[in-house]
Amino acid sequence: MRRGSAGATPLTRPVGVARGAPALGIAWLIAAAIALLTGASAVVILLVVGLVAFAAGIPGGWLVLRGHTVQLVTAAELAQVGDDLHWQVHSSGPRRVFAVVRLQGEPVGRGWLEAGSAAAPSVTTLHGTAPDRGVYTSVEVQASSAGRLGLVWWRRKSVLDIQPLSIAPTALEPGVPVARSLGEAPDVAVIGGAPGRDEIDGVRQWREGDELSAVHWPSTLRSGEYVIRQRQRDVDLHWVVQATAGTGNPDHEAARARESIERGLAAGAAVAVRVDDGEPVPIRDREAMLQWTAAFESTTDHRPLAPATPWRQRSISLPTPEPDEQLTPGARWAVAAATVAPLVMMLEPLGYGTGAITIVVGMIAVGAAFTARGPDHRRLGRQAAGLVAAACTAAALIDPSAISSVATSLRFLLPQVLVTLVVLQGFECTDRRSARVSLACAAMLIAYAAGIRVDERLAAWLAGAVLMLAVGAQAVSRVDRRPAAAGPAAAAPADAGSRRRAATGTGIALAASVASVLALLAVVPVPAGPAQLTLPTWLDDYRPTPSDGQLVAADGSPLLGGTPSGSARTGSGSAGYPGFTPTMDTSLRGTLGDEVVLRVRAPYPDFWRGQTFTQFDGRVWRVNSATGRRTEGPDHEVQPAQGDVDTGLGDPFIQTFYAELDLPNIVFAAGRAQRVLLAAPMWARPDGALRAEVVLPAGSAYTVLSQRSGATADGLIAEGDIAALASPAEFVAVPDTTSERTRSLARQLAAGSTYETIIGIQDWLADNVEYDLDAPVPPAGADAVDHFLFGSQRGFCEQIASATAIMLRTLGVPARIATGYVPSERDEVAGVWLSRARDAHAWVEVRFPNYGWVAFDPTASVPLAGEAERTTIGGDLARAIADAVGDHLSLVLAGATAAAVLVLSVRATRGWWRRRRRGRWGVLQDQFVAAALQRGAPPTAPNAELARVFDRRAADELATTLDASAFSAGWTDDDTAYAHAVAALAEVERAR
Amino acid sequence: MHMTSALASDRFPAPAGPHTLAAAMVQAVGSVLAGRREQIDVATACVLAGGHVLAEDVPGVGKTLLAQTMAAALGGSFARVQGTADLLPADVVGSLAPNADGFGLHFRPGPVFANVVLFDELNRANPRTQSALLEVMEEGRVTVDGTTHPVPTPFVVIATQNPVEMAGTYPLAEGVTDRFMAAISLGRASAEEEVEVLTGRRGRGRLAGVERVATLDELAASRAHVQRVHLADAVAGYAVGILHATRDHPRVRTGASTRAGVAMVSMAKAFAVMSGRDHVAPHDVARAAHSSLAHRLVLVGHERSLATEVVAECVAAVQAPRR
Repeated sequence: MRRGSAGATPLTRPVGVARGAPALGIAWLIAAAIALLTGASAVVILLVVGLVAFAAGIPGGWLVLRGHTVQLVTAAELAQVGDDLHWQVHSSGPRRVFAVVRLQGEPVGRGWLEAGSAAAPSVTTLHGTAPDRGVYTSVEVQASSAGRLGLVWWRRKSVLDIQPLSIAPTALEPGVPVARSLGEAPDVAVIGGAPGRDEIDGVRQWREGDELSAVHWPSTLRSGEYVIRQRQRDVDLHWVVQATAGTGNPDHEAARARESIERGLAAGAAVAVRVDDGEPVPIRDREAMLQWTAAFESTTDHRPLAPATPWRQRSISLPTPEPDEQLTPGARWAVAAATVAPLVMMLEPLGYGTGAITIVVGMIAVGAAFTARGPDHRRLGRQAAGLVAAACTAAALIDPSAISSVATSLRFLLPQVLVTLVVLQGFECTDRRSARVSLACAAMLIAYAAGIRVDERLAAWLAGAVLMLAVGAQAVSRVDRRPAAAGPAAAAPADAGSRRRAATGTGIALAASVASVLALLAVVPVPAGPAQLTLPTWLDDYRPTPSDGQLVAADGSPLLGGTPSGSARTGSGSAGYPGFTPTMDTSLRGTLGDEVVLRVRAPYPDFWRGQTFTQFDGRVWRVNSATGRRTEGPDHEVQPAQGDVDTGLGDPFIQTFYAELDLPNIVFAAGRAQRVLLAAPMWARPDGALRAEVVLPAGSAYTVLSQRSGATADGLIAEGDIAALASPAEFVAVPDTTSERTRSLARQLAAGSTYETIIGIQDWLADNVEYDLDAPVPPAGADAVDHFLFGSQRGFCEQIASATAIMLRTLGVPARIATGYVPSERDEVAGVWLSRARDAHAWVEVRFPNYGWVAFDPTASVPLAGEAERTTIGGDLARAIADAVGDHLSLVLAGATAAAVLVLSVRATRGWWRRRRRGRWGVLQDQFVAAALQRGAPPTAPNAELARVFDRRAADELATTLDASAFSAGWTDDDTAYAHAVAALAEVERAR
Repeated sequence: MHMTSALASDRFPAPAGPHTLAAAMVQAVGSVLAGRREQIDVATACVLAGGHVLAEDVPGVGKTLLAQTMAAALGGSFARVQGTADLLPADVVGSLAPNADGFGLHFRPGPVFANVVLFDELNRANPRTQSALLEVMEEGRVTVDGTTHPVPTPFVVIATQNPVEMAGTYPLAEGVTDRFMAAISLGRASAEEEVEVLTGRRGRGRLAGVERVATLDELAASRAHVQRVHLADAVAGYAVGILHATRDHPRVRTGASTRAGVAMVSMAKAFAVMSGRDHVAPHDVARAAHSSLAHRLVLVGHERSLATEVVAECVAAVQAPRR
C-alpha cells in the first residue's frame, strides 16, 4: 500500500529569519546607540524588552516542530513527467506548519499543514508537479515553522518511505526500432497477454497483412473503407520494441521507447519490449508501459548533484524561508497603528501641536489605505501620493530657522526627516518585508522618543507603543488564512480544547517573558549617563541676560534679593525661593508650590547646588558680586573653585538637567562641577556657583559632569578634628552677634572628630528643635541663630543650616551654606529624579582637607557621596510598582474589579450573541461537540459518531435529537424536548 | 444450472409500516444467518431502497443463505443462477423456444423472472452474460427479439463473487459494479456464532422456519415510503462532499459517480427508515458511504482490498453537518 512511514528521529535546525527581520536587529543596535548617547533608562528597558522578545521568538518554531509529526504521505503510484501530483499528508502538531515535499531534493508539493492530534491527524493535499523520470521509494517532507512570533524559522526534514512512485517520461519522437510480426507466429511470451479478451468480437480498421476473409463486409460498405472482423484470440500483430541499454542518456531512450510502445498499443498490437538481447517483456496496457519506461535503467540518483557554490559567489541576502510575502490588510493597518504611536510620542515633547501631529497621522493613514490592498494596487498613483505626503509632512514639521547648530539639528531636523521618511516608507509598505522594516523604524523612533522624553507620561506611552509594536509584529507574521486558490482538501477545524491549550501556552510564554525582562532589568544598573558628552543640551528659547554674570530672574530682570518676590513670581518657579538671590534672609521663606521644577537624569540622588553663601551677618547670608570666569561653551571646562579638592575619583558623575519651569540663570550641579554642557556662555564663580549668560526657560536641558567627594562616614571620621587645621578666615568667620550660649552649645556638642561633631549637632537639633515652615520671625536686632536655637526652637532648613554652620564655625571648622534643590522622588521608567518647587533647600557644606566640600543635611534624604549605591533599573521598577500598588490600593482593586466585570460582561455578551446567532439548539450542539472533541472524538464526525465516545444512551439520544432538530422537515421546537436535551447534555458532560 | 422455486407461503403477513417491516426482516434473516448484523442491515436497507446487492467473500460464509433467507422473508419467487464461462445471455434472461405445436416461437422466461435472483459467482460469467444481467438490473425488463418482458417487482439481484480465486474469471467492469447499490463482505462468523450453526440453532436448517414478513404490496409501499424520507440540503451537501473527496483522493483513479451518489442517498434513506426516523441524518450518509461506494472506486493499481479504507478516509475528511 502506498503510504510512508516515519524514519529515524529527524533533526530540527534553524534555517533563517523572516523577511525584513534583520531590520529589527538593526533597530535594536540603533536603540543601543541611543541608550549610550543619552543614558536614558527607558531606552535600556526597551533594549531588554527587545532582547527578551527576540529570545522568546527563537525557540517558538522549534517547539512547534518538536510536537509535529508527519505520519504518512500517500500519493498516486504512477505519473508522468510534468503531471500534477497530489500528496496527501497526514500530520499532527500543535500549530500549522509549512511543508515542502521533495523527491530527490526536487520540490514536488508545498503548502500549509494544519494542526491536528495524533488521534485525529490533519489531512492535507499538497499539489505539485512530477519531477524527473524515475522510480522513487521515499519522499522527504520539510516542515518549517517560526512559532507565533514568526521571526526565526526552523526546519525539520523527515524522510518517509512510500510505495514506489513511478514517474514515466513523456514520449519523444522518433521512437526506437520495432520488430513487427504478423499472424499466428510468434513469441508465446508476447501473446500470452490480455486475458479475458479472447472471446470478444469486434471490428477494427484494416491493417497490412489482414486476410481478405476477415473483412466485415456490412461495415465496410457502410464506412467506405475496409473493416476487419477481429477476434482477439488471434492477435495478429506483435510489436517487439527494441530499447538499448547504456546509451548514457536513459531518460532519452525511455522517452523514445515510450513513443514506440504507445504507438503499438494504439494500433492494438501485442507489445513487448526487449532491452538489448534480453527476454522481451510484455507490455499489456498503458499502465504497464508507464511503469516500464519509468523503471528503465532508473537509478533515482542518476542526476548529478549541482556543484556546491563557493561561499564568495553565494547571495549575501539571508535565506528567507517564509513561504510568502503577502500582507493582509489587517496586518497593514496594525503596522500603521504601530508606526503612529511612536511618532506622536516623539513629536509631542518636541513641541509640535495637535495640528502637526494630525497631519502626520493622516499621512500615515493615507499610506496604509494605499498599500493595504497589495503591491500592484495603483502603483504610480501610490508613489506619487507618497512623495506628496512626504513633502507635506516635511513642510509641516521642519522649520529651517530653528536649526542653528549640530545640537539643534538633532532636535529640529533629524527627527523631522525621520518622520518624513517613515511617512514615505508607508506608501511602499506592501509586503511583509517592508512591513517589518516599518516596524523596525517604529522601534527606532520609540527608542529615540524614550531617549529625549523625561516626563511622567513616558511610561504610559512606552507601554502603549511597545504593545502596538508587538501587535503589529504578530499581525505581520500571522499566516494568511484567506482561502488560497487551491485550498487544502480537509482542514480539520481547531477544537475548543486545543484553542484553550494554545491560549494557556501563550499566557505562560508571556508571563515567562515578563519575568525574564524583570530579572534581566534587576541586574542592569541604572545608566551612569551619556557615554559621549555631546548630548543633550539645548535651550528652547535663547534669551541673553542684560548683565554679565549677575543673577537674573527667569523673566530676565536682575535679582537683587532681600525679600521674597511674592506670589507674583512663584509662577516663574524658583524665583520665589530666597535662596536663589544674592542675599538670603534666613528668616524668610517664600510660598513654594508642588510643581515640578527640575528633572535630573542621574544615577544617584545628590544635592543639586545652585548657590553657596559664605558671608553671614547674623540674619542674612550674602553672595559677593564676583562673577568669576567666563567660558564660551557649549562645552565648559570648570576650574576648581575655592576649597575644592581633586579627590582623584575617576568615576564621573553625569547629570542632565531638564528645566520644567522657566528658571533664573543659575546652573545647578552636584558636587564639584568639572564640565558643563550648556549651549550658552557661562560664568563660574570662585565660590563654585555657576551662572549662565542666558535665562533657562522651560524645556532647556544641560548636562553637568561632576566629581563627587566620595566621602563616607568612616573616611570623614578618619579626617579627625579639622578645626585644628588652619582654614581661610572667611569660612570660619562668625558675626559679632553670635551669642555665648551658641558657642558653649557648640563646644558642648564637639566630639573627637569633626564628622561626629556634625552628627552631634544634627542629633541635638533633631531632639530640641521643631521643623516648622511657619517659624516666627526673630525680633529686630536679634541674632537669628540664637533666636532659633534658644528662643523659638522652631525653624526650617535655612535656620537649621545656618545654626549648624555658625556653631561649626565657632569651633573653627570651615563651613558654608549652599542652596539648591534636593531630589524628592524618582521616575523609574525615565530614570530621572524629580525636584518640585518645595524641594528648594538650604544645607551646610563643610570643607574636609581630603574630600573638599561635603554637604550635610539632617532633613534631606541624600546619602553621603561615597555611600550612594547605584541601583538597578529592575529594582527601581519593582519598588515603583510596589509603591504604586500600595499607594493606590483602592484604585488597583477597583481596576481589577472593573476588569473582572468587563471579562464577565464580554462573556455574557458573547454568550447572548451566540445564542442569538445559533439558537438554543445551536448552543446545545456546540457544547455537545466541544465535550465530544475533548474526549477525543474525530472532529469531522457526525453527531451519532461523536456520541459514541461517551458510551452512554443519553448521548446517543441527544445526538438523535440534535440531528432531528437540524435535518427533519417536520421538527418543531419543544420546551420539553429541549429540557430533556439539556439534562442529557449535563449527564454526558459529567461522564468521565 | 438454475432453478426457480417459490419458497413463499401465503400465510398472513406481519402488519406493517416500513420500520417494522425492516425490523422483522432483519430479525428473520438474523434467525438464520449467525451474527453479521451490519451486513444484514445493509442488505435489508438495499432491498428497501430498491437496489441490488453484491456479496464479495470466500465460499462457505453464507452468501447464498443470505439470499435465500431474504427471498423467504420477502415472500416472493426465488431463482438462482450459477455463473460459468459458457453461460449465455439467453440462459439468464430467457429465450425464444418453439411452441409445443411446432409452429412459431414463444418466449421462455429465464431465471431473472423472479423476485429474488441469486447470481452465484457473477465474475465467472462472461462479459456478454454480465451485460445482459446489467440491463435487467437497470431497466427491470428483458428485451428478446424486439419484445419487452418486464420482470416481476420487487426485483432484487443478489450477486456473489469470490475475490480470492480470480483465475479464469472475467473481472466485473466498472459499469457492472456501478449497478449494484451496495457491496457487502460477509466475513466469517465468530466462534460463538459458528457453534450455533454447527448445533443447528442457526443456519440452513432454520431456513424453512422463516416466514414472509410482508406482502409484495407492502414492500412496494415501503419502498415508496423510503423514497419520500426527507433529505435536508445540508445532508445532501455532505453526501456530495464525500463524493468529491473520493474524486480528489490520490489513490483513486476514478472517483464515485453521480449514480453512486444516488445509491448512497437511497441507502441512507433506508437506514433512516430502519432507525425509525423521518429524515436522513448525516451518520446515515456516512454509513451508506461505506457500503455503497467502496466497490465502485477504481483505485490506482487495482487494489480492491484498499477501497474500504479509502472510503473511510474520504468520509473522515469531510466535515459532517450539524445543527
